[in-house]
Amino acid sequence: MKKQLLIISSLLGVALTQPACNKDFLDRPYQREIEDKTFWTNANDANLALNACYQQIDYGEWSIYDDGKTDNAHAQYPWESAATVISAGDVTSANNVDWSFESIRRVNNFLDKVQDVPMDADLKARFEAEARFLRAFRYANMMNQFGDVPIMTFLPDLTNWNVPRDKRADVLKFIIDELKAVAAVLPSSYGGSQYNEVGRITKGAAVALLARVYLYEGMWTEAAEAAQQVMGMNYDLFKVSEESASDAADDYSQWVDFANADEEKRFRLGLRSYEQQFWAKNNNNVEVILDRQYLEQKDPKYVNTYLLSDDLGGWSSVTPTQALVNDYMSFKTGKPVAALDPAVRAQRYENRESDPTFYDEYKNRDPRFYASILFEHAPWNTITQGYEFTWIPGGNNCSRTGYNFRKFVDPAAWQAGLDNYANHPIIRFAEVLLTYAEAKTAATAAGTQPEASVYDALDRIRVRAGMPVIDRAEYNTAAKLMPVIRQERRIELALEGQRYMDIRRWETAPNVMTTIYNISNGLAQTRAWSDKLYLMPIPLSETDKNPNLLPNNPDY
Amino acid sequence: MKKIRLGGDSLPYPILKVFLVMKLAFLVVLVSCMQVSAGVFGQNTHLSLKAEDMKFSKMLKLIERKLPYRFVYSTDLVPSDKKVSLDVTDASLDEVMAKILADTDLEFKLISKKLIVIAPKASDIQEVRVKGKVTDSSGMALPGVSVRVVGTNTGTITNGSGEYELSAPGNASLEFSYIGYLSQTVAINNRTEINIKLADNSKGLNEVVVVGFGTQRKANLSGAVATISTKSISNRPVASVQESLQGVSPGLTILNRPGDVGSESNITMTVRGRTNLGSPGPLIIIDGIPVSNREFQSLKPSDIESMSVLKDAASSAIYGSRAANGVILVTTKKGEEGRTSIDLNASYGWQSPTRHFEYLGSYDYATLYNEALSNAGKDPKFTAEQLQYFKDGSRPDEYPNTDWYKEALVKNPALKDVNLGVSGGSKKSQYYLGLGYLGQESLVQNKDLNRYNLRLNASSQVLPILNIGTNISFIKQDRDTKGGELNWVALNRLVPSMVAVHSDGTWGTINGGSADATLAKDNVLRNMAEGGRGYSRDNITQAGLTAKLTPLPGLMIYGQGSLKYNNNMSFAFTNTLPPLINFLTKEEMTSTRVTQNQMVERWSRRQETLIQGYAEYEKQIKAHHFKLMVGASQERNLYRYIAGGRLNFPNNQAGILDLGSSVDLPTENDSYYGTNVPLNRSYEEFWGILSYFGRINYDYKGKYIFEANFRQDYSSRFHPDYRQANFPSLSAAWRMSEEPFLRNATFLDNLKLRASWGILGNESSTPLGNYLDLLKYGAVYSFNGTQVNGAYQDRGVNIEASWENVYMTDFGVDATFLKGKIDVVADYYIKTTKDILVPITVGNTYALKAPTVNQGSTRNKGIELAVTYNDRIGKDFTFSISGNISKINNEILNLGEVNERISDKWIERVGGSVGDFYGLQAIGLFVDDADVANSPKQASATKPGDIKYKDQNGDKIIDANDRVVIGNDVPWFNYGFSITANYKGIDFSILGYGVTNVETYLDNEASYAFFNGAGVKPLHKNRWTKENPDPNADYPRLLLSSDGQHNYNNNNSFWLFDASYFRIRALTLGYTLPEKLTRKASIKNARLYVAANNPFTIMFDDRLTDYDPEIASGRGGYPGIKTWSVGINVKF
Repeated sequence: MKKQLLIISSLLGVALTQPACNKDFLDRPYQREIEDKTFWTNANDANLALNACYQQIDYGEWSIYDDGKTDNAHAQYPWESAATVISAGDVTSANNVDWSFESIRRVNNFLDKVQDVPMDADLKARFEAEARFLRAFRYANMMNQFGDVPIMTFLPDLTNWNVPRDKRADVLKFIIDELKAVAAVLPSSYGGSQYNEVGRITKGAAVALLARVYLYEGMWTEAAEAAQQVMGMNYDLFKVSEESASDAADDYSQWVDFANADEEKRFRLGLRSYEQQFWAKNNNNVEVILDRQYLEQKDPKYVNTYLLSDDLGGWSSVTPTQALVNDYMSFKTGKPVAALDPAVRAQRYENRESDPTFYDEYKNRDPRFYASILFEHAPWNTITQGYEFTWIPGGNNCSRTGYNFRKFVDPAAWQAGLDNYANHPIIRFAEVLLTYAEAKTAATAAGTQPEASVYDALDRIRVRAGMPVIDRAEYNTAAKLMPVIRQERRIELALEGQRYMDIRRWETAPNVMTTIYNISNGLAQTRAWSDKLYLMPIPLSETDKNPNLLPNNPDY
Repeated sequence: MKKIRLGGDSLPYPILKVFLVMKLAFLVVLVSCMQVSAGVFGQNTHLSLKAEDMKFSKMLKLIERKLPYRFVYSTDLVPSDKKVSLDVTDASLDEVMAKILADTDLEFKLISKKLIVIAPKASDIQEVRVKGKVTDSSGMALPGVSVRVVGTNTGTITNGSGEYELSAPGNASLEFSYIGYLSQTVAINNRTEINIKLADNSKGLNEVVVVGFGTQRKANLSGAVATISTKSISNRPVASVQESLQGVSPGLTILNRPGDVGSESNITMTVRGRTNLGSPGPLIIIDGIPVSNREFQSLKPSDIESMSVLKDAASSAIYGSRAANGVILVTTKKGEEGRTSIDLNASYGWQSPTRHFEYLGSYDYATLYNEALSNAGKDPKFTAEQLQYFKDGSRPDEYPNTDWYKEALVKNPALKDVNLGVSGGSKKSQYYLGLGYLGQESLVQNKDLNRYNLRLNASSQVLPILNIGTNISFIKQDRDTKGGELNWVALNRLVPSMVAVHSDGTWGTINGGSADATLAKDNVLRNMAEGGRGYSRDNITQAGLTAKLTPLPGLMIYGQGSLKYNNNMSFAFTNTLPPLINFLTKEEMTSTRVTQNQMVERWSRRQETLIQGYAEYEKQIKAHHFKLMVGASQERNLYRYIAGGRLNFPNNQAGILDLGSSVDLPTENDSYYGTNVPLNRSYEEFWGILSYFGRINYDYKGKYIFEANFRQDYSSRFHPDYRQANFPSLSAAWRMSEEPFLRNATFLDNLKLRASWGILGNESSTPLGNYLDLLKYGAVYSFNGTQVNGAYQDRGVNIEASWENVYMTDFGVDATFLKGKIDVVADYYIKTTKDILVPITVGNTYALKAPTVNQGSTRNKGIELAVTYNDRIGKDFTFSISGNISKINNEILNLGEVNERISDKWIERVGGSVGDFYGLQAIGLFVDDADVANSPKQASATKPGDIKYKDQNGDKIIDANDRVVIGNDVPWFNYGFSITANYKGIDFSILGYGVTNVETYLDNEASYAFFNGAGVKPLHKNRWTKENPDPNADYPRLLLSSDGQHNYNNNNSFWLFDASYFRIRALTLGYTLPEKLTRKASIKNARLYVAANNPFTIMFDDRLTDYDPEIASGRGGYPGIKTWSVGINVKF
């Protein structure tokens, strides 16, 4: 009996501990991500990796905050972006403005791994060109902000990431070389089939970016040449030929003294053409050279919320300054309008119920003013029937300046209760025309008249906006024309992020980055300029880890 | 009386006749009494009596009636038919007894004033062989009991079955002694079998403590193990076991972040302080099966039989790679042989916040708002007229005074708790059935939780050597939200000047006189009422099977298998909502609509399988006691998740995905995948662990105790080449009180010195899939309106990443004084954590998440002290007071290639402590312009009334170089106390817990005025003003948050608050009905009680008026809860 018990129990004991001897049960395929070693096998894998590079394409809706760093706009919430602290002149190395190499690494990883992927050689070359463009674009933006930045064309590992900064001139050369190289490979358009989807980087994008880079550097001849090359491609300014019923309901006759029906039509279609190019229904229109593509519901942008005021469910995150309002030219003459004395405006605002002279300031302005700015009693039937904007001073989620932006707001998405999903322009044809005009004019001796193509380019923009053309007789020298070009650029490209570099390269920032006031002359934001703001600081957290990045930019 | 003599070379366990056993046992007690009182003898009482041929027993009864004596004797001694005759007059007791016992071998002794014992004459003395079994009061065999012949040096020790055998003179006495039990001396009286039941000496020592893979008597423990009595955790109005563990044991720190009903991630437990740079909790094991925090939380306290906290390496090394932060072992109740017993407990409680979030009313809000604007040089917003409206409340539809917290929360939501425990069984089979229900209403007005528990523990001795047991438990937890979810961020941003509901019954649209679409849309009352609906259904099912084989004396083989399913399902529907109507203009406010309804459904299942077995052999060889255990286990954990969601249902009543639009699938943000992840997805997580373990116990006479443990783990978290890890431990204890030189120290009951060393591991810091070179995959971009997927690198890989190792050395003392009145447990330990996974420091140019490398090291040196004092005053009043403290000194020893790492407000620096805050040191507020001008340069916006920082490096500029360590947020010093008292049927207990020397950094809504549009709190009233430029004011000059960034953005010590607190954790007052009453209703015991959880809290920083010390950030969320309840406990 005892023996039997012993045998039974030994067997049971062995049986119980037996399963633990097999170690295979510790292995099971990982089911959350893809293993790198099983990837990179075909064109589709390469395409997937390239798509991930697109995810990090610079800009898009954040361009509105770049204008918040300038005299165009006030970004009132410091927690939304660095624009508030930069515009106040308080930026320090404790802030990380935009120091990031994530997108660069993605591209480098793609370029590194795609080498061994068996696929069509031409497609591979094009894929590589798209990726290299994205890297060059990122570098252009980094260079604009930080000056010297390390050029990373390799995949850093744990031993070699702590590189020093390369000289700005070297970075510039790298960007230009890369853009020239990819422009030679990229197609001018895409048919829409697999791997050829509309929205990918085109040759036009590469050349247009090159034009922008040259312009920023003051390389006028090159800039004009590149711009001219793009002007020879199939791009044009976007236009509409008729108004919708709700648009037609806006009564502009009380704002503009229309001479006749034609003038009114010119005004109205100019306004609509300008504003509707930014609507989702006109995605991928003829004017787009490079944009950040958005997707309804799945990948929207939030400009409707950032820009609109509380009454439309917005936050008034970025709002127009009086200085921007002042720069919208006369619809009647096409020439600048003298700015009103702030004290007078405040007085008139105070008495606006009894004395309508307050509204005179908003009359007979560039149609783009009405398309871009919400001012006191601005009509907007497309957003809500009978809507008129009213500023609530000090109100929750209301503007600090007295104005809100309307440019970039897509009423259709707002109506549907959705977030805005219109593609956001990065480079559009109007910028190329302006680049051409500026570069050509700058390359012209101050006292001589720029060639007619300069005026033609500017007139194309004016005509699309419903504005009178440039008075070639009055602005008959480069010196006279240049301020008009700059003002035109500011108006046309408002909120598109260009102003940040414009006031720096023109060196007008010290004059324009001053404290801003609202329409009743109350303080909106205290601003101060110091020359350190030409460049942004390398973040302290980065220089701590990598002292090779030092010295920091001046005065940080 | 027959004398049995045992042969010296007979079988070790000869079969004995049992006829004497019972009666002898009775005699033993008597004789031992005689022994004690041998010296007291004498009588002077006289008796007259005449009787013939009377039965011996009847004769004694007759004498008892006449004299004030009682007789005791064993009927074995006197044949039942023996008759005696007596005829005496005024005879002394001596004479009477001599006559009665004339023809017997018996003699008598008066052992007290009234008791006469009749016993055999101690005449012929001869050596007898005595054997027997020593058990404790419950009949459990006691091995290792010292059996000594009184007055000699001969003796023995009981074996593993509690049996002993020795030779001794027939008239000698035996002394049985054992740690933790009252020694007993018994006269042999020529008996050959003496079985002894030893009574507990001081409670605790004999407690059988559950340790890893086995049990151990407390007295024999050489490691640091705390046991938590079920008494201290039952009958508390709490919704989770963890809550009831706070302050109960030193070194066990429980941080109970307030959370809504059924939320699970809000309780963190640490044993002996945070050591690595994250904060994992201890491994929790219920009945041998590892469980998650969530399952532990759902366990019914009333189902718990015992709970042990394994604190040092010696006791927890047996759990190897998951024991770095201690182990909590829970044993649930088992049935007992005997009559069925039923235990019913029911309570009803009222919950309320420990601290209310307080926002000032609309008049204060508007006044201070104007002040904040004017401080920034801006125009005021509210006119004097408007302020007056707020003040007098004359226009509530435009200028209201809304207390949003009051509106949104319920006043006293109920906490209902009913438990039923049924246990019983036969000699062979026992069972315990626990049934429980917990109903908890949320403070949020439309939410509740219902939890149902079932537990069935059964065991059966199917063969003499085989016991089969089952552990079956089922938990069903339902959470329901009858309406939309409360959005706490929205609640915190709703200002008192915003109307909640207008006088005509419509939802509020007006804020301070004008329409406010944003806040109107964010009206939490509307969203809770009309916003949607949701529920979650969680089921945890567990089936466990155990088999225990005892084929040979001392050998036990134990096997266990368990299968557990954790199924969760949740459903949420968001309604479409019509636009609100502007109260003033009666026009629609378009943006307050919700145009799309949507539904999301998520399912997940975790399957855990565990197979483990071990064999234990115990042997007593003379004074040497050995125990050996070896075992193995394997565990697999497989988790699968799937979610689906659609948009645009035909109406808000739809409840299945089929009814939604087929194309629009919402995306969501996911902590793992990133932003805009398609909601429709599934994923899987897997880990497995394979282990071998063993233990050796040795003790000599229960005096010198040694233990060694070893565990080897293989974990799937690591690369196959780095999977194996070994965790050894050693411990020893010396029971000084058993030494001859302390034996006579009557004040000392027990004194034990302990020392231990061991290595533990932590694998939880290593994410699953860590060693694989992975590409993240998912929707990344879109081209021309079509979403495209992408794949990209996200983090660096270190395939060598491995366990974090904890080296712990522990010295401890256990002492009991004054017959158990005072009990002290003290420990000092050094816990060094090495190989902590620390991310390599890489700059942004590396551009991936840094891989983690085993390169960090920290050290905790700590002391733990627990003192208990029990006593009795008078006959009926008993009480117990105990206190405990835990103090830890933490030091970061190594961080790899750098000496410091800064993340946000915290710094990890070699030489510093985990949890150090890093920032500028605030030195008050600027008084005036001159003060600003004469101080080192701060921000351009700095004005009088702003925070003044200390220029640490003296360079006249305040910048990042002036940052220093300004505080620490880890409560390194914890203390607790408890008092229990009983007076007749009344019982009272109180449990307090506190932490000191700790700071909390409060920012955003927690402390900033008007944070991102939010309101103001009482703290902001004590601000700096131009009229009263107090440099030590509680708050700087008021500014809107966008204007006050220079005060907020720099991490600085102004926002550090003293987070020390003392909290009455629990309070109970009970009354047990007199037995007289209850017995009639055949109730064994009935008790009524009032209990409270967290009833009182003292904060040491008086600026913290609305902050619960355990809340995470103070930004405003579910508040801390206190509960008062009444209950009844009935046993049948």
